[in-house]
Amino acid sequence: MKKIWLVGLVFVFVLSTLALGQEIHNPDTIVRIEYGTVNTLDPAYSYDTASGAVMFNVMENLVMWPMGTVDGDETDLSYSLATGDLLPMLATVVPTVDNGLIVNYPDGSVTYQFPIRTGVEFHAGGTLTPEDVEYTFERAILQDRDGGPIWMYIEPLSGQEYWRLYQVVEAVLGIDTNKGETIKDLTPEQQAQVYAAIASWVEITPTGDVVFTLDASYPPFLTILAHAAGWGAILDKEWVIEQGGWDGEADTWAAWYNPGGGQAAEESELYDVMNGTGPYMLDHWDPGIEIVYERFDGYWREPAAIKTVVDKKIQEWSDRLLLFGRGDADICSVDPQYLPQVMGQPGIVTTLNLPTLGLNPAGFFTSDINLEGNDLVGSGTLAEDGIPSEFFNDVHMRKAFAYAFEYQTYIDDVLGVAGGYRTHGPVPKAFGWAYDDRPELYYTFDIEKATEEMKLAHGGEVWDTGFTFTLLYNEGNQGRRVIAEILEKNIESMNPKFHIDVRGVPWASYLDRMVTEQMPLFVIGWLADFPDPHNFVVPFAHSTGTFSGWQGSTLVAMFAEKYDPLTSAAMATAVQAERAAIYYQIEQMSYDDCYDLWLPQVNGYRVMRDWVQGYAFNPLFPDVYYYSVYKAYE
Amino acid sequence: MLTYIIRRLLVLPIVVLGCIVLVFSVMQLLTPYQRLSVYCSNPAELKNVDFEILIERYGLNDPIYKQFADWFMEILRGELGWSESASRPVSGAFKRFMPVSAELALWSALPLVLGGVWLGSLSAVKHNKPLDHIMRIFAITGWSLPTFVAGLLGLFLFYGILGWFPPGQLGLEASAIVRSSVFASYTGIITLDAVLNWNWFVFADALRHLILPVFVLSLVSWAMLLRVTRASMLETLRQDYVTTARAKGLEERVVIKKHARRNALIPVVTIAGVTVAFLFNGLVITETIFDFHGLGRWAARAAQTFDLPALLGYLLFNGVLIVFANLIVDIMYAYIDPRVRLG
Repeated sequence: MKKIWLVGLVFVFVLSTLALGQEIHNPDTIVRIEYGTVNTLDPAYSYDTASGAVMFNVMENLVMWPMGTVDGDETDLSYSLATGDLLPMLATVVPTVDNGLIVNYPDGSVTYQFPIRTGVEFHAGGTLTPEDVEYTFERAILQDRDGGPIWMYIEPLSGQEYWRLYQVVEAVLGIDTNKGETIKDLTPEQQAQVYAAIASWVEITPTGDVVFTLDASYPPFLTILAHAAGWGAILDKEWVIEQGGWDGEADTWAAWYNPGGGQAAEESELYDVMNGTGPYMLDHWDPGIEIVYERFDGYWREPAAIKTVVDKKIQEWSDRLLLFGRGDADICSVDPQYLPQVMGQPGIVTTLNLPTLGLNPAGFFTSDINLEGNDLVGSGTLAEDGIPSEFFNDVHMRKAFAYAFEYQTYIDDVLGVAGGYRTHGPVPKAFGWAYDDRPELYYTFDIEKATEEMKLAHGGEVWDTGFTFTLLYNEGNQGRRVIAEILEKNIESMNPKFHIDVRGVPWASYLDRMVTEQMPLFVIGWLADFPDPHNFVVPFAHSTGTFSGWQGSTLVAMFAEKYDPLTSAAMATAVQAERAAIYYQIEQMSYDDCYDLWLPQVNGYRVMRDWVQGYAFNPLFPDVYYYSVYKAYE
Repeated sequence: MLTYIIRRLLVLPIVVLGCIVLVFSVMQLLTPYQRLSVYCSNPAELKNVDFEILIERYGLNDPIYKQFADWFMEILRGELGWSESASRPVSGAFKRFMPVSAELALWSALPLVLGGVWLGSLSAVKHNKPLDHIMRIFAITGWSLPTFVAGLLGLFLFYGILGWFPPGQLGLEASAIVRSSVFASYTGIITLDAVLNWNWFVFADALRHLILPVFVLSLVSWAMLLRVTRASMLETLRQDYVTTARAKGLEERVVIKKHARRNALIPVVTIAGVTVAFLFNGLVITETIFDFHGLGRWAARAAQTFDLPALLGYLLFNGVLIVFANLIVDIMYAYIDPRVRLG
């Protein structure tokens, strides 16, 4: 029955595209239809691509990555991932050693100096100043929400001594903050002491430039500032204060530290308001429904070609398909398994085999699952109706799941025409020099081995008791749903006492469940913040990593003991061969410890109407950059 | 009549209370942890405070009568918890989504009642004639066609191929006007607001987007009303007093309008309450298919994502709605049949 519907849908879709003709619909508006929901509009809080995509178009950084083009007429992959090719944005010059704006000092410290562009207006009316830039970074560092992106500043600025603000606070004040829990209780004097310690990290020179001082060399630093997913986006100080944000005083910042405990984006004062210097202004954000942008005519460069951008959230694939087929949408999110329904259709351009720089998806086991208020773990005990907190603490259990996934089936049936490839460990295959491609490092689908491992798990007890838990996926994401269903099918086939339920939840809830460590196994993706293996090893295998940090205390302790020293060692040398050897070691350990489920990766692709031109491409971009997009036949 | 209405109004709070008690009873099947989400309208509260403290704060281990009293007060304050699927408090979600559903339901109710009753009686008057056969085929088809099938077929045909009726509430241009400062939102019901703003472009665009979902939404209920009206009219037309009226030489039009239809409406009005329930059940599918962000779509997402506060809020809303719909039915019933109010 389902197949009949599908055939009917495709038939109508083809008819509709044929009937459509070549007229460009809504020439002054880009309509994009997708299902990813935005988590927050606060650039210092945001660390997900859906939120980053909004900031990419509304706010701007000091520097930016250059872009290629993938559109109706051309595929120009001449983008660059080289630091030397970065483009100046709100800075007028990209610092280099040659132009004297990067200075290496004998004590090992490094400064990056940015002359700030003048005459740049914010959407709400303010003018960009060096104080805005300094405030933006200080606010981000002092806010440092749990699980957020700010480790990327604290690590290099502190000379790789600290990763999180609470570590700085503990070092400066000599106190235990219980991982930041007591920071809000700091006295004004203590806050001022901490502020004094970080104030030198970002300063304004007498000539009005902004200078970052790193205690030690950190080559990717500029590329961190260049990433357009939020954390490098410059805010208007006065405007943020008007919104109820940090007042910029040295002794008050603790009140704004870690809003919502890092688990409630709504607690940030910039949760649903935006004011940037970018080519588009936020018109409105209706969570889960749509985001609308309007062109900013006071933009410091030429205003964008397209007046309005409507980003509609449509969960139903049939609606997306029909709107796209009729030409009422210009850019459409298409899951890989649906690509055959749009490929080759008149008026639709599909570009395959684009490079990616990420690990998306990957599965993460949670040790010491948080049972409190958790409806995903049944009874919360080792019995047929639930699982205990330490269910995935046992490496045999994790390996049983790794052997129970049908990797090749997933590539063939789900990724389909988009194509995909196997990967292992936290270093993406794109970093060929650091990727150990030995076959023995890949888990394969083997239900017998899975059964053997399952019988060893928890001293053999789990085989007798059975278990039940729920696997979540973010609704609309069919790929993650299928991953969960493959595991459900194969694990349940091993023993009638094994039960897995699969359920979809909104993206924001999914993230919340993840950071509260309620999900026994979560699947999520990581797109590079900066093009270096370090940016993957940290989130995947460091004790403070974005994902690894949420994998429960047992795994976090393992990361701290075994992986953290290696991660630091790999950054302590600039010799590529030495770094590669360390990453090879991490990859072998990743196989042995099996802390993650290394899932097949999809090749990059884009689907759009043929009249869409100027679609910017760089694998580091979080999403569509509407500034360069226009609609025409060329 | 007035006494009857007052009597019914006095009973109403008891019925509503019964409805609230039922929803509260359903809640008791949940663990205190799950019930917490129904009490907290601020999601941060659920994430940063010890659950035991919250359970204590909201009295979830208190005696059942005290829990009920506390929750009842929460309802009166409009505090129904936080809806994950809507990313806002349940009360805020109702405020956001209600006008969308109300618009669909109101536009569906009008043709439903008028069309269903009129066509039903026409079908009975033209008994066994071609028109009657057509109406019967229409009714049976409408009755047996699941809403999602009718919706998808309609969408494929009238949008996918013909391009007439697109999904969503408004087109891009009308949407931009509604968002702009020149368009005042009085009710959130776009067609009504468009009339109040004297903006006929927005009105026409909204109407264009409403035609298909309204047709799909009302189809089942329409078919049911048509069949009931027809059967009732046939029964009434065979009564002796109708024969007497005809024998007196009254015009057939007068016989049908004044003598037959009014009495035939009694069973029709009786099922009107059920029709309201049908309409709101239909919203779940119709809004999902046609990308209307209303109560039905929210309820569907809440069900898929196990969003308990939203589901309980929706359950409560539906219960109260049906109670009120039945009140109106009872009053209409009494108006049509004096025996009811005198009994």
